[in-house]
Amino acid sequence: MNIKKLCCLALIIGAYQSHLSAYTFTLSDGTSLEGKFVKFENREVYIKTSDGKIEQVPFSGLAQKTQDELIKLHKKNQAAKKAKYNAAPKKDEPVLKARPTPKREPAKSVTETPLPEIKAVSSKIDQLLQQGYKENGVTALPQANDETYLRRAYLDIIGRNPSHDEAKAFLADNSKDKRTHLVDTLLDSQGYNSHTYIWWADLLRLKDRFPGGAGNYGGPVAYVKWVKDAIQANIPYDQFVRELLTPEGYSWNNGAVGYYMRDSGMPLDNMSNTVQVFLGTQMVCAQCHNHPFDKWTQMEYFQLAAYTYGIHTRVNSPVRNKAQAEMKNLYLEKLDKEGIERNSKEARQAEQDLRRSFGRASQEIFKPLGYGVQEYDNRHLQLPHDYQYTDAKPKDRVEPATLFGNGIDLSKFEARKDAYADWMTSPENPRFTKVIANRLWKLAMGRGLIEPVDDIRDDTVASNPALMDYLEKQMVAFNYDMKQFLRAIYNTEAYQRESFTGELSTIDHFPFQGPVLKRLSAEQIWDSLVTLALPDPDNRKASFSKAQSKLEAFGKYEQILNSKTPTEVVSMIKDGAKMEKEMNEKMRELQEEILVAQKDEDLAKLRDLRKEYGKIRRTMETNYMIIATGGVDIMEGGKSMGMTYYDRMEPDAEDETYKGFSRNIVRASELPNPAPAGHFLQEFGQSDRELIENANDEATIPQVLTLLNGQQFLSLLVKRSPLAAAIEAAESNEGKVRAIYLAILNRQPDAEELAACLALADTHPNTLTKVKLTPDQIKKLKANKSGYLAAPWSDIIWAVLNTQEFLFRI
Amino acid sequence: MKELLLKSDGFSRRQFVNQAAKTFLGVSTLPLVAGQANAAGRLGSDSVPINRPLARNIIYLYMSGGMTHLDTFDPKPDHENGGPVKAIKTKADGVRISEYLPLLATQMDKACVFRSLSSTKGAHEQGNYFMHTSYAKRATIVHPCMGAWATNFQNRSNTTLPGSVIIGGGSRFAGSGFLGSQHSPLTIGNPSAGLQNSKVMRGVTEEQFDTRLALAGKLGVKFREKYNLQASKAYSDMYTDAIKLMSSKDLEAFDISQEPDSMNELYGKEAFGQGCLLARRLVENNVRYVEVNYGGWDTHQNNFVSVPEKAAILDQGLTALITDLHSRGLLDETLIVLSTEFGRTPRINQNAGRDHYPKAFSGFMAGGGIKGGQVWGATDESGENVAENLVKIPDYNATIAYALGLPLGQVVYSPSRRPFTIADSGEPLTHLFA
Repeated sequence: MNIKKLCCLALIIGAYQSHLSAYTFTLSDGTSLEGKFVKFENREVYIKTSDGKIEQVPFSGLAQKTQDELIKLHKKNQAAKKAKYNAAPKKDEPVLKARPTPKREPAKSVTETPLPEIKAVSSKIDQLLQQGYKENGVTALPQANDETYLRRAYLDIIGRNPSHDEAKAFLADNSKDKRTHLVDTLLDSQGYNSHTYIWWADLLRLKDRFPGGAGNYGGPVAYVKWVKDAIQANIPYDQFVRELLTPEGYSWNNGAVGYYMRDSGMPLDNMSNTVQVFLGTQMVCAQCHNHPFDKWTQMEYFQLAAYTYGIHTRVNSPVRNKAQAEMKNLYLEKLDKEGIERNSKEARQAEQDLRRSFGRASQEIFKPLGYGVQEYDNRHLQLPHDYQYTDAKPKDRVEPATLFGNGIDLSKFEARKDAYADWMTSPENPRFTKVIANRLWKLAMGRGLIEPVDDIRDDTVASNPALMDYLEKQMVAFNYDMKQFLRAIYNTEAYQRESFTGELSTIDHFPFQGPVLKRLSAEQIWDSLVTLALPDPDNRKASFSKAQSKLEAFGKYEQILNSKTPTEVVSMIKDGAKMEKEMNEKMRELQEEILVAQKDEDLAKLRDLRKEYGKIRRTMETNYMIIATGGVDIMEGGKSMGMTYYDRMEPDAEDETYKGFSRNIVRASELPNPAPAGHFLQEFGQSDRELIENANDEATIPQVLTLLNGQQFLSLLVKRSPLAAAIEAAESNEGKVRAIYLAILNRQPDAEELAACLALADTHPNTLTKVKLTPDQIKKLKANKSGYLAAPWSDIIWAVLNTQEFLFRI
Repeated sequence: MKELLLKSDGFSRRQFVNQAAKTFLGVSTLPLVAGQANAAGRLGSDSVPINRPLARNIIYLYMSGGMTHLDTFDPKPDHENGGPVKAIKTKADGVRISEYLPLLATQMDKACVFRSLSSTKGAHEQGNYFMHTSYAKRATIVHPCMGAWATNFQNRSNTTLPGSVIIGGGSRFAGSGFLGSQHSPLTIGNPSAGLQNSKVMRGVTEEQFDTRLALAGKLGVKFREKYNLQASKAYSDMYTDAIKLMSSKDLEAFDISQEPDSMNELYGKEAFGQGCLLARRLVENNVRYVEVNYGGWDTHQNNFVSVPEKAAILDQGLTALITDLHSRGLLDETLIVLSTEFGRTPRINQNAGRDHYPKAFSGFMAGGGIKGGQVWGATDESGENVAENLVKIPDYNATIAYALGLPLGQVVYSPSRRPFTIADSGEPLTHLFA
């Protein structure tokens, strides 16, 4: 018997060992051995005799009769196996059970929680801070004036400057509690949602594309939408995290599946990221060895990762499996009919041909059902092959265990991930609440009580431990309502003080005499410019309606495919293969024509041919879908089954307010995730969303070049911009300078600044002949002149924008 | 760097990056660092002693999408996998390449072809990342590309211009990773358009620009005095530098319109040729690392129709780059590297295309001290397997780093305090150098 046959037998016998009970193995020398077949390895048969001993016998040492019998047994069982395989999907192939996103209610106004409750928390915070000042021998900074407070509150709460009119209204308001009112208004506004979205997008690394193919079929867009909807509804933080960690299904069932699909194929990294974001703990070192700077062992790392290791982001369709079995059957029948030996070279070649011609079609048709989140009970994590510690052996199976806090009784949960999420988000978890309380404190005050916010260790001490404890308790008391928690911080005296002007390093224990100065984030700078250029910037939203209808179409597609019989699917696959072949033929012909046109330098023809070529290429996917659905184009002519950011930018019927303003002038939250390379936002350090909180605020030359010479500037000068309107509305040169200051820096110029601006304005030729015009005359002038503000106002706007003051929040 | 980072215990990692940028790597303190870093780099690596002149610059040509090896540098005319492509003789004895690269054939005496590259990443994104960084793509760290490693160890040669430039959209993975944004390459989308925002806006006169600047200076005085912090001072420095750059002679390096027509003819008018031409200008002006991206190699269908078209543009641009650098005496100090994320299936698929194939594929280097007329490694007759001298991706990158004299064995810690080396554990192919 040659080696090839032996290898074959290894498989045969391996598959049937369970069917063999005690058996008499006759050896070639005529002796026999009674026993149970164990395994076949290295061309030897292992037989367990009745006294429990294992005997090794070379396969070639078996009598021909025994060899034949083993082979015969194999053939018999093969038929049985085939029947079984065709009858039902593989046993370990669970059917995907979608967990749909819960219905979201619009957020209640923050004012539904009575103000005194909030103010009580604010005073307690101030009191704890005062104790800290005493201990550190410092005094509180003085109260900030209304101008400083105004700009700060807008930037921190809704992520942009106030507009000229907003600033004017606030500063003119004489009511005593106007600051408290402003906080409530801002927390209830769409601006808050935009700003909070960016905050989450950095933490969750939200992108319009996922690695590998996981990004197709709506994953990223559904995830973005999920996050936006959750923010809009202001769902409690703990619920937000729980839903992220426990989704199941396709992106059209629940956008939160994006949480796992974002790290598709990297389950261990996903766990490290989860722990970093929600528990402020760095474990990534322990993936390969015990953590060198913290206490975590590699074993603890793997124990925690074992909770989520069962989660798959590539899912198999039982319908497809059945159809493939059916195809194989048909193929085998054909072989038999043609009298070809099943194991022959020709048979193998035929099978390969079959795979080639139908494999792609089958793959294309089922591709949309290939990406989702599904937990497999039977998938367990093993230690790595080079595990070096003595508490276990390499490749040992790891049972899940938690890091700290209470242990979990797995039996109480439907799935491992539910247990994991429950432990993670419990108020008993010593780091879960601490991390969010500290992060939100930092969002408002510019610095965490614990720094860095995501490298907490057992010996970490907050700069004001009593305050940290209190904030944690309040977060629980507020039922993880982020808005109420922030409302309490924004109502403290501490938040309303002048900002601290000293240098700080992370190791300093800062007692928060006032908020900390910070450079605006890329998004805050951009959104502030948008506020100057676009009226009502917070309500201009990217539309999801097209994405939504695509997601619904995918849902329908799933239903259709799941309702098909294997025979129907097989014929679908055949049709698909035929279609693809025809289209390829057409593309080949076109390519040849293209080559000819190139030689002839017939540019017009070349353009047409290329267009045609591209069209065919793009319609391939749609054609597959039409075949699968029996002639219905459920994408309704959509270009592709894949989905990108641009699918959501199809405008809904937009408000009159925005007519005539470029669609690119929109808040950062509505732009691609992240903005494309070279975009203003990227230039100013927007996170590339590859790593958690990867934004940076470093000064660079291209940033400055953009501020000096960038085209963005022109959109501020467009006469319909709120900035230009405010300037036009002011009558005197001084009034216009004041309008510029109020719009850009949200304050009045001081005497010297005013004088410097007026020195330019009053002597500029454009203003010297200026007479007061009637509205009619202005209209006429507008129709005749360019649509842009001219010097000296463009010069002054430019100069004010190029002060560093614009880039910082004090 | 290592010592610095280790001293930073208790520092936040972001804080550290900030401090490092400002204290050690900031523009204003450049000369100090340049001295130190060069010393470290030029001492040679921890593991590989260097006794030859070093390359100063890299021009890295990235064939995005996965360039077919059988139809370019590793033709198999005698095997069915080879398709209709013929092999042609080149100026180097015994070295044959595809008929699609006839111009390049005349320069093979100056180049080394690699026919035994082997990667483990079969998807574009992962393959591209691996090729650029020598590390597998992870969700918890971003690794630097060679340009960032080079400026990290050797700093910029020209203090006004950026240390590295990426032309033609470029790879999202050719970035500075954990080395920080001060090592980020400058991206030029369209090579003919020059450096973005480096000229005064249209409609604004020089005089008006000066008026504006003077006013901005006055209006900003109080803020700068009151908030005299590193964060705001950094902007003062950048304003100074940016304005210096706007009027600097160096800016002309970005302006290929200054090239004579003959040069445009030589390099070709397509974006790739223009990118190569810009790369040459930048290298002449001491930009250390320039990457030119050339996409569209993902030939799943109709491979033999699109590859000749793509190869013709590559042939012209690359040949022009070699001959031009050579005639200017810059080839010895400039290593030209051609790479791609993977090769393509030797077996032709049913759509007359080739699919992704990381197991065996080709690369190319010229100049920078590499011996010309060589072929390193080989595939078997089918082009499917590496038959001799397998080159792993980290080895390929280590060879580039070796050409520059970068310290290969030196451990550098990320701000999260994880240890990394250039080219991971790749071994440089030192015997390929003259």
